[in-house]
Amino acid sequence: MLNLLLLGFLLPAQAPAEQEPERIDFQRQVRPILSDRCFTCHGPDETAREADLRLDLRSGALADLGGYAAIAPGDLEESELIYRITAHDADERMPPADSDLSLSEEEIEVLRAWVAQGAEYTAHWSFVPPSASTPRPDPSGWAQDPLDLFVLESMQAAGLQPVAPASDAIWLRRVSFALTGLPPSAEMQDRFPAELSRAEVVDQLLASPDFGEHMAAQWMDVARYADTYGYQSDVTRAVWPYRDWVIQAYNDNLPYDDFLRWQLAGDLLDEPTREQMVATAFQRLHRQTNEGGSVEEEFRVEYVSDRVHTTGMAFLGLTFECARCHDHRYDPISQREYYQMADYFDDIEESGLYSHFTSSTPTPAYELPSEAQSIALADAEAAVLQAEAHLREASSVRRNLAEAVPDEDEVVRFHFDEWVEGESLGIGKEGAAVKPEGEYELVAGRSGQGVRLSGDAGLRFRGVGHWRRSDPFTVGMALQLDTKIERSILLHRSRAWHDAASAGWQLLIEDGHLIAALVHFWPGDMIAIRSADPLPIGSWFEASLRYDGSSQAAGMQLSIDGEPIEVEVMQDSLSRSITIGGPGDVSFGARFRDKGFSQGVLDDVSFVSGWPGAAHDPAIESARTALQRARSKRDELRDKIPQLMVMSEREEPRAARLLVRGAYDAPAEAVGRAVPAALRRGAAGDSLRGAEAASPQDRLEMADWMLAADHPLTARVEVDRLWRSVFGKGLVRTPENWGSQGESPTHPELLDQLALDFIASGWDRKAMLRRLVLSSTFAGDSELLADGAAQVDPENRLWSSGPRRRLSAEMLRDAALMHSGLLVRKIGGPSVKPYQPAGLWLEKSGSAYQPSTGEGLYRRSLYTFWKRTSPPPSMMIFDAAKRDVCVVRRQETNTPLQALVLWNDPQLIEASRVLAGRILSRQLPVQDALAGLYHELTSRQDESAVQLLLALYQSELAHFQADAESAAALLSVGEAPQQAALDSAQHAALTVVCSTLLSSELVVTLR
Amino acid sequence: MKDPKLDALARREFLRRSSLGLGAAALGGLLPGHLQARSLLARAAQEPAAPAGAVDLAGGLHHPAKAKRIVYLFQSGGPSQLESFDYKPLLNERNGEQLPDSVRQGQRLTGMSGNQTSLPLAGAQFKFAQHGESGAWVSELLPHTAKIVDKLCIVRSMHTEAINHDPAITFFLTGSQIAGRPSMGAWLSYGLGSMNQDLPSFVVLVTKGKGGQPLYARLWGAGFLPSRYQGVQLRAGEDPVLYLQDAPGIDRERRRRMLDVQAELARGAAGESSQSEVESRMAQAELAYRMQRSVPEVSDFSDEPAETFELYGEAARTPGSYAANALLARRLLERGVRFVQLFHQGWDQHGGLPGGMRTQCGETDQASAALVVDLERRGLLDDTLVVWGGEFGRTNYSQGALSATNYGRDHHPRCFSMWMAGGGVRPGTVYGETDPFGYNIVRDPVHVHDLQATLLHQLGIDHERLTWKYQGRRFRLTDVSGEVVKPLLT
Repeated sequence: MLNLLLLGFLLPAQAPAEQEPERIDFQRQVRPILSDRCFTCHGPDETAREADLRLDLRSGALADLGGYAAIAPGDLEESELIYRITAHDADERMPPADSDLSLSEEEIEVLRAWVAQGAEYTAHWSFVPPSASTPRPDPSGWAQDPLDLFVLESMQAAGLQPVAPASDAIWLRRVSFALTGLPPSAEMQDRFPAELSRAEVVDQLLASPDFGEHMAAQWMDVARYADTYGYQSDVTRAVWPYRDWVIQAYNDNLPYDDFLRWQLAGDLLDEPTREQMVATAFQRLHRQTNEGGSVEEEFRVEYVSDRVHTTGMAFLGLTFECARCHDHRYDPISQREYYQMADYFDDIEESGLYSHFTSSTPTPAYELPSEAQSIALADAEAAVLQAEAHLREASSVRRNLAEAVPDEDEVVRFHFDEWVEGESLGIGKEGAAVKPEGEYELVAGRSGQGVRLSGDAGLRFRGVGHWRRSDPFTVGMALQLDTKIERSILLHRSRAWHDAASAGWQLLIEDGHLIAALVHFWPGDMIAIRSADPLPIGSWFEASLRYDGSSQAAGMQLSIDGEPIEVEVMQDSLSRSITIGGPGDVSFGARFRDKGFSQGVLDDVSFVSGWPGAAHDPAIESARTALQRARSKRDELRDKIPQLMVMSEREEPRAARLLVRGAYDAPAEAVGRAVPAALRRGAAGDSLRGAEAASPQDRLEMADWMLAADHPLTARVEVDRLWRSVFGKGLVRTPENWGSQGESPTHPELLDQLALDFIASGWDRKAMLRRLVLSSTFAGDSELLADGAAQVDPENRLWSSGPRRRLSAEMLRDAALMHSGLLVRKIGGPSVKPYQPAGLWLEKSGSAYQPSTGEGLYRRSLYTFWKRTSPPPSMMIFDAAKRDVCVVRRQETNTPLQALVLWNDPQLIEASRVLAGRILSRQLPVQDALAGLYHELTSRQDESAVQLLLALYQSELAHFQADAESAAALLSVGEAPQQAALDSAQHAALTVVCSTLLSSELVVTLR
Repeated sequence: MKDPKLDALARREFLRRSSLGLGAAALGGLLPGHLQARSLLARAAQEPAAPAGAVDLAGGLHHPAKAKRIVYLFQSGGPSQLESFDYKPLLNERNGEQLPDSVRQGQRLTGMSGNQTSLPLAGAQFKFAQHGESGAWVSELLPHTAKIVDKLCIVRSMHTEAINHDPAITFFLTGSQIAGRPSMGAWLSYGLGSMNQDLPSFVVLVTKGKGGQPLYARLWGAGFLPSRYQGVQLRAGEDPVLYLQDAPGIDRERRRRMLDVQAELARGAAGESSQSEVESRMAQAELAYRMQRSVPEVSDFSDEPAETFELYGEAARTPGSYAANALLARRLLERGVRFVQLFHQGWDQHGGLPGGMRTQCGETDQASAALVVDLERRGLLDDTLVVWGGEFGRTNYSQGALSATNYGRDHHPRCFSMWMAGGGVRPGTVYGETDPFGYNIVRDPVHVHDLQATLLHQLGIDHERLTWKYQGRRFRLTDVSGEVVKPLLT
């Protein structure tokens, strides 16, 4: 009976009927049933709600439905719900047949008992702040840490006793993998336990840089880290500085509150440091597309959504996705609240497409100069300031520059009057010419002939207009517009619109207004101004842009008919080259995948390079030349500084709108910023700290809200992540869902206490991990089964046996590299490309995988290049996450393909070969060598196993002695140098033994 | 006498770790009790090593199945329906005229042609004729397909939601434009398990060296389903399955010895709580060992008679060609592979359409038709569903300039054509109709989710009931919609 009771506690959905006299626990027994079977139609989502009945709130369940109620507390007869779930008539029965849902007899009994007992509701456990509790003391002395007391208590409640602890050697292996992802070093194996205590071992492991790499490898799944953008052509991007920051953060034991705050809002901190900015790349690692023809806004909306989903999943364990198109069916997150969350992540200068024709970093981008680059750049900036001062001085004593009129011989002018249709028009000035790209028509112009275009083909200008951002220039054109134009490209030098992020200089019309822009990456890295008034319709006018080479919006001037006009600055942040993406075309009226000019006539196009009127004053001219040179030098330095995608708020908020059905092109009302109300309320609607105040106003305040001591989720979620990292499975077995559809914790009081301890420790993750691995719960023998455990706890949820798990993809490969001595211990830097079967990239997207040579083959798997559309196959076969979206838990499966990887991945064969060579060169007696090998790889000592290996070695030795060719072939695998001094047959035979062990269950499963 | 404690553990391990061949068990074990798979579970649990075909799913999971297996010939890039199955003489009559606004109705275009000022209607520059008793119109580019129209069920009223390749192909094969969902083949492996002992249940074949629109591993991935349900790609070349071939110097005998020693080591070290886990892992290793033999055997065509190559074309002798993959698909299906997915890239004719279509059809027409004929001759067509189609159709107007001999077509999600054969679909049928401009559907639209629901239906699966709970929600291939298209079925 005790066992049954416990099962009811563990598996609430199957609580047995015999428990009627027991008090029904709403949280653990009732809510899961209601949520899973009823909420789809009778839950928080108003639009999906049937019969105007909601069962997620007590008030809804008790509401008068016209003379009756779903639940009449204490009265089974009067409760429509009870009647419906037991109705025999299929038309009345709930859940209805077409829902494919049903209630078991046991579940019905739970609901009956609950209603009979008064149908009390309590808030979902994970939305209520954690509470402290004191476990029963343990007179047996088994417990090493208070956490063990909680574990022991639930074990004993189920009639179980903990198994004996694992051997020291097994414990060492377990803790070493748990904290560093690597097997224990030979040195540590030698010194423990004789010279090192367990606590000392743990401290050494936590202090090792291997720790940060191991923890970062796990965080990469959460951060959906990848070295490519994902989607279609899946181009490479350099985001590894973020990965290196994560490693550093773990190794420095950056408190979790800062770890969270910096990634969520590092850019909003006062004078953010480089590390704080780099951390915000977390929010830009989502997939991005450059597929031709994609609608820019559609994908920008996708990116914002991904940030909401990732933030919700990574830090709160909640699935916001569901609320994107409609109110959440199970959890109290409305669609409106989804878009209120989105508003926090919407306000960056971002494009929905990255550039196909250029390799620019999508904005907002942050510069990561080396120290030398910082110094050189500072010098260059100073030189520019000085040169600007000189020019001001030279100009002010002479004449006003702004009014300068170019001499006619400085101007390259096309007035089209001598143009004969069908021929290209050269004007004999520096080889300048204009050539139509398709259909055009010569019509009456402002004077003489003008040109009318089709909108699909423009006029291309040759030999003029190829300016850098440090080059002053003036362009002008006469236009007569038929009508107000929504959008049209006019004169420009650029390769394409979205497909090149508009890189180049350009004049265009939007919504009837004239825009001038010099662009590196639209919209975040450019200078752009817009005429305050719309352009005239019907009459001829001459529009011109004058630019002074300053890379500043103030250095651009728009004029109409020679008069400077009033403009507004759209963006003033040009920092990098505008002459990228190939030679680019200087053309008028058409651009790749942009709207062309067809609603008007063009005449008199003019180009002036340099400051106009240059030749009049040698002093000014020389100051100008010096300034241009200084700017050009600075620009060249700056163009070489690597950049990283980060977060940075745009000046004007976008005011996110609710999107009907989640569709980008169906915006409804603006919703403002807020966090979900349910998370701001505690049990029974109590206000949490700060709940009375307004919702967080920006991402930084959102981080503070998450990190408030009474936030119900943040600390629990992280503590559970740490527990999972060490034990293989968490206290919550559905870490991807802490909402009402998720599982309740196996040890609720323990989870709460650890969360409170964690906050009290200052969010100290190393300290928490230290406690976990030094606990008795962690130390149990995983091969033993407690009496009764097979029946009561077949999944080891109560931890009566020690933790056992399959090594992760990373651990498997890294361990083999370490055993062989091939592992290259270098932290950080660009990702590397170890062995991979040929052709995998090529057959998917046409670019070939070029494996690294030398040390790139032997780095830890954390550094393996991650291409989203073709991830490293051996890691995928071992259940690595794809990194398309945030994933907080990996599968742990067992397939034949895994056996094939273990047998035949050249990385592992090579490791076996090098390991065998290392052992052979020690020149030990075979038996001793094999015993040592077995112990080193498995942390076990077992005479019969050594005998098995010896028999294998001897049969293989005989084989390879007779077949030298096979031996040579086996010893040729991998790039690592051959160990020539060794006997080939022996080496090959021992390689087989090493491979047998490295691919065996004993190594693959961490016991 | 069995130890009941170990028995309970074995069952748990079985559910958790069972692999190829036991998908039905996973289904029964992991879903709440609204599935009828319990009996299958019991049977499979008793006979984890049953011979091929022993797990008889002809009864279907939810209702009797018409098909046991699927071969899906995916034509990646979006083949033009207007040069293949959807004959529109009006476009030839009005060739060069602007697409009327009354036809377009303001619907969205891609950014590739959406900013074109001119959208000239483009008639197909290929002849169409009616074929077979059904009188289906087929273009001259598909002479072999034309000969078998009476075996086909042609759907001209497909439509989809996405307009760009990546979202569209992801939508087609996973039911959602958002990455991370399981692929169709993974759903089937999970739902139905394998019918064989030596091969994966879901195999992917990609035409070698085509290029064009990229493919992504996620198109045959397992998403949030256990990774054992993901498709296994068989590739032309020495390692048809990744890491299949033993390292140089390791022969079959060595591998056997190593495997035996591993088993003994593992069993020797296993304690009470890990025995079943060890057995499960060893069983997977044994399957890997068998695959090392069975996979090369299935890809070795030397036992095929000359007439096979007459049927599929000489190209079938070139490993990795579409024709060779079609033949390989037949060999896999014969051996009990549940779902074979071919991919042939290159159908993205934004420009140079006449030449491009000629090449694409030339590469695929004969072998696609041959596969249908071959399956029929072998008595396999009745319970094998053959599906042909791409991720969307193409516009009726020219992208870029229209000339007397050249034009292009942009993506068009609003209508396109596919065909199916065998597996209980109605042969000699042409279903659905588009308007005379070939722009909108006027009769019997079939949404991608409808097609997916129909495919599952033929395999005995109710698409609304094959679900997996993840992140608290029951996901399914057809997301939240999809109706079985009954008129397509016998």
